[in-house]
Amino acid sequence: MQPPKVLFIEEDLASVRFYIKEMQDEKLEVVHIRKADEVLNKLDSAGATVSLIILDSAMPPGKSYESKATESGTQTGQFLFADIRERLPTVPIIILSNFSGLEWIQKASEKPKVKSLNKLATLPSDLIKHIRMMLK
Amino acid sequence: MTNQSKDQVEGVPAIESKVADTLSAAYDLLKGSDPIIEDTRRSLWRRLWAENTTREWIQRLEAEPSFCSELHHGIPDDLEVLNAMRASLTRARGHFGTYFILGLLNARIERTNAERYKAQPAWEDNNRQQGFCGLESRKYLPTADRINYSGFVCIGIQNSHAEWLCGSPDKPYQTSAIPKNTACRIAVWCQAEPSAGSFSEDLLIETGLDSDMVFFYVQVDCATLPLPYGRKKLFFHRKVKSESLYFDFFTPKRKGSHAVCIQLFQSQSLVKSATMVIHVL
Repeated sequence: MQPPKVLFIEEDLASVRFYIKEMQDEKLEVVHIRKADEVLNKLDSAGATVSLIILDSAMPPGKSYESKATESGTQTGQFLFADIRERLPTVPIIILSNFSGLEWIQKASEKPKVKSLNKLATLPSDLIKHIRMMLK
Repeated sequence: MTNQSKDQVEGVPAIESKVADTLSAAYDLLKGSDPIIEDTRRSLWRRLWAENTTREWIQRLEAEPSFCSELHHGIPDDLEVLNAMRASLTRARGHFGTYFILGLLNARIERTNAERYKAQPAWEDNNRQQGFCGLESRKYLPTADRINYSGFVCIGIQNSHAEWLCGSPDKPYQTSAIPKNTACRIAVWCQAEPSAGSFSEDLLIETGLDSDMVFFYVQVDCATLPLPYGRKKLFFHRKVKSESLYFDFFTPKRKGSHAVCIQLFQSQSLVKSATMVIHVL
């Protein structure tokens, strides 16, 4: 049986490696994407096999979102979220961010199968618990 | 697992941190579900977060200075984490953005301390008045190196003839641009209410001594514009508009946007960082 595949969309390396290691120890297949421009290509090619998506709010907009109001990149995730939902309306999404108080995140987390977590308060072991809950 | 990354923010060299490496190694060693292990891991995580996040933000500011304007959304309210971030910044001196982040942290610490001071129960207040003060409360007592102030720091740009280029009611800073290759000056002042057309940001000091006369030392910084070095002093009555301080500079020959950081100090403490983006056309 194939392990669940998690798409981790996050530019920062320093903190994400702890999360990825923990997920790999828990036998989850992790695909890490650092650039906004690569996300949609990945979803178009392999979106059907993704079990869950973890998304940050802040990342450089790249070419795909340079015309959008990303507020210096802090809200690029907002536009990624919309595009992801359009392609994968039922896949669970965890918004894992340092800017979890942003309005778009609070509104998004009210939607079904969406959860918002703050990186400071979320240890890798906590993230695993949330992933397991959302994959049930 | 080491914590160093050669390319944490694309195009900007990573800032090395031996502290982060040590914390990472310690975090990796802690295994198990014992409550003591769990608590220790959580405490390490918070310090790792402080170390990694300050480095990430400094790099991001170097790559995109306009990131300044959104950074306050990510500043936590936790005093322990704020102080850990400040400690991390002392190891990252020399980078543009270090002072700006430090200003945000100090402002948040100031606000958090002020809220705690106001929330002290009445019996502790009585004890303070009688000269008895627990160690915990002493942290929130007014400090002699700060003077309380509630108002706004205001910023605008003038040309060499003292005519407003942006920052006046006729030329609001949000929509005005400055001509290229022009002698200009940054005007900085304080007043009780926001100034029409100028960049105005609230300036609140609550954990200092009460005084009618207030002082701030002001300096300006920008990663992409050559600005004069050194601090200038503002000394004014808290209820009136202060005099203006001026910092001369030349706009570049090419159009572009520039994030100018204005820092205010009382004694040696950075009490406020404000960033205004100016557009050169």
